[in-house]
Amino acid sequence: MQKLALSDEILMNIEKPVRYIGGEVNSIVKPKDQVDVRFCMCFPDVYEIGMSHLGIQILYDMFNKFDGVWCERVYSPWPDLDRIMREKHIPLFALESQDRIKDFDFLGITLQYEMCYTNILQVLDLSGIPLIASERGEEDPIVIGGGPCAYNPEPIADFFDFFYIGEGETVYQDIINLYRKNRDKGGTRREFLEMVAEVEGMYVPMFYDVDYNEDQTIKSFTPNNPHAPARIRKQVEMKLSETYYPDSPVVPFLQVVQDKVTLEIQRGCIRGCRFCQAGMLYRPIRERDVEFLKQQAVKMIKNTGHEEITLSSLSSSDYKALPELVYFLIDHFKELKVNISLPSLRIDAFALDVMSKVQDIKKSSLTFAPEAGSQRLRNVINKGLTEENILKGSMDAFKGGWNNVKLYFMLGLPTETEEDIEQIAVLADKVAREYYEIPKEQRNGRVQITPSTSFFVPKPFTPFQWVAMNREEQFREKARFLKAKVAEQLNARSIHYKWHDSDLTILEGIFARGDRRLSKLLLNVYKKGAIFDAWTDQFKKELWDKAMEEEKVDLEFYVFRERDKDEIFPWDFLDAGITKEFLWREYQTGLNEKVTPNCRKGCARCGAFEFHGGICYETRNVSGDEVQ
Amino acid sequence: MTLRIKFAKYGNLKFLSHLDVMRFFQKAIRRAEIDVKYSEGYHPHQLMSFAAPLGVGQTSEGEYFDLEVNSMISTDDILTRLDAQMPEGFKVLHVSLLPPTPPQTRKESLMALVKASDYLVLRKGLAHLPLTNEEFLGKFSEFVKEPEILAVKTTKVGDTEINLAPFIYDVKYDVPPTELTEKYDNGLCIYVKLCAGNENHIRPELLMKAFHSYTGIEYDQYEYQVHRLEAYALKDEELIPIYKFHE
Repeated sequence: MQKLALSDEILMNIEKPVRYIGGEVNSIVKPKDQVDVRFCMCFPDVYEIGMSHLGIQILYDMFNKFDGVWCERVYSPWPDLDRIMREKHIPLFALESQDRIKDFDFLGITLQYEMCYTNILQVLDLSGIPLIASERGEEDPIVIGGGPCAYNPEPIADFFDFFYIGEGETVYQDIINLYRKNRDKGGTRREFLEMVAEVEGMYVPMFYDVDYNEDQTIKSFTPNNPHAPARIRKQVEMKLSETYYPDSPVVPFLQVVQDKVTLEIQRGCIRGCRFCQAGMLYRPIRERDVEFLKQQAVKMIKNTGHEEITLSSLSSSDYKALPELVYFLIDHFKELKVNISLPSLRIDAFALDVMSKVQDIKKSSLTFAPEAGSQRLRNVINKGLTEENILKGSMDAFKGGWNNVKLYFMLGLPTETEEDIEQIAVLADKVAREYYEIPKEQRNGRVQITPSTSFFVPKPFTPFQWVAMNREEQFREKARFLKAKVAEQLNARSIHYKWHDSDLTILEGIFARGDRRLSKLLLNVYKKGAIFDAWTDQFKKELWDKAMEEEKVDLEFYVFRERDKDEIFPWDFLDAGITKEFLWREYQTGLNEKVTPNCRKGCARCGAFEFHGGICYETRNVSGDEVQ
Repeated sequence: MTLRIKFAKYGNLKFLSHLDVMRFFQKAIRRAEIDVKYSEGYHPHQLMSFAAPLGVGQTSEGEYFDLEVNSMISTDDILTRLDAQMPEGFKVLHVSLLPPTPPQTRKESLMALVKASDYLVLRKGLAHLPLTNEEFLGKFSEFVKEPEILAVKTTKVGDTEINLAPFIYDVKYDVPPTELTEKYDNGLCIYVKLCAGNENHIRPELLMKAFHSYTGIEYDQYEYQVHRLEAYALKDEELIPIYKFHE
């Protein structure tokens, strides 16, 4: 049995010691004498969050299929253990071997949301790895960043040796081989990074210099090393049915957030909602083969013993073979009592049929994400859902026995007026009115409509990357206004408006579109004690306020400023497939309240055609010439 | 059909909570493709019930749960298949088929069956216990002979003082640690048989705590590793290991 890094006394004195002991079913332990590269994969949040993430499971499986590579996991120690580790100088360790992270060859950190950035510093610090990449020695692990936030890596550029831009399935084997090659010839860390810089998709921040204009915007962003290319193109896996996918994901002992099998049915989205970063970044949409998914589902349920399977994608209804897949899962898993959950489903006859088969209607709710209250604003954001869709979908569902509807909206969208906000309340009321159209004796109790709002944060690589974000006061005022409008509705008693008064929104706004100079802010606030900022009970606003003051971070510049068309953005050196011209065009089309058809209806010439696959090569109404 | 399954929980998995253990077995049973019986309704769950929960941090080779199945090849087959799903830290030790409950009688709960448990208490050998093994054993054997051993038992309704003496059924000093107990260099290992179950459940920690008040040495909960060896039911005035109860 693996000797644990932490003593019994420590483990018995902290919350959920099982977070730190490893040994889970399907976790992988390799004989050390058959391993020459040690990789540690990190999700910089608590175990229950990190273990729920599909991407890590895919990469964990992939690395462990590589000969001679042993991939392990590490998560952020919760503040209770964090304190003890600092006091007693216990170095951070990987779950499987319980060995020190500092002795690994690689530490790969996934970047899923901006508010985990201080936890990156926590992980490095507890591991005893210098926080600043340029201060690391030959013995330190190579620290890699990847995941959605790597599409603007600049605010955390100083802390990483390199970023892997794009999908992880493609070139990690090459990188491991380069590492071996460099080690065999006695090469230095710097020499290895120079080799990495030549691999497509790899960004080595220290090989680039940034110059600024007087107004603080970027003047130039240029390589300072002959091995580093001026532009870095994202990695895309075009053969999603022939690549790595775990048959046997790790089964946690603890109850984690997503305690189920996750089946990623497709990557990318055809919809082109203008606020949505994922919908832009993961183009072109690529479906996994339905037979592959069926086999995978059966294997994964058998090998994990999970009692639930969920389909994952940005818009499941757009998966062409969805009915075939879902009915297969229902039939196949009926006897095994496996629940099937279907998030991001458009409400139509098929969806209602499936939901009535897999859920308890009385306890479940219907979810719509109109994102904006008025049709005008929905056109601005290119959200195809119409009022008619919502009302008809609700009515069909009410007739089927549902009486609980959730509606998701955003506040602070570009061009938003009070009228648009009021329409959120009006729409919620209209849904309730639909319900009361049903004769009383056929109704299933009271109806409950729950509109909720989040605050809009402009993200890189979206048509709204130029826009100014709302101020905190504006957000609060808008939420108050909406609350009052909800109260004025006829069915106000059936409408329960929820919003998050989030201090984090502004911070998210800073880092989403921030530049390299923000690493000072992160270091400062981390040294003051900020970690787990994504957790409201751990978030300490006063530390951030103080650090921002000390580092003279100008919110006007980073957050509340409308950008010029030709401004050089910190992320412009990355080529995500979609062009800046396309994004600007979409922005202007949006301002003109015009809708852009989805990828299946017509090509919007976003640039993802360059990847030679997926939707761009399936059903095209335009000739190849037109897309060039 | 009801199966009674005996298992061990040891090593690093001693940190799993009772809830974690239940969830673990639900998944293991599914992986083993056992034809388990589910409850009705939209959220069906496996029909299983556990005996007395083990404290977090304790190891055991005397854990039990009952499981309802629709069909099976044999108890041996269930044992082989389920044990194949155990990671290091769990082991399936015994599977037996319970006789059918006669009609019109209520099924006896496993939890209610338990009347006593055997434990090994091992000294971890941390620096802060100022006694040699010899001194320790000397004092302990005097302590358990006391006619009255008072201890404060914390329950949901409050603290009550009880006399442990009548609930200490046996003490031995020559029972060796088993393969599944934790190993410590000092080798001190005490065997106790204590009253268990719904009425007077005596945890070994309570006994050790009382021993410390007896000696006047401050009690440190991390000084001892507790390992449960077996759980017993009462049959014809005699304590029978749970797995043999229906034989």
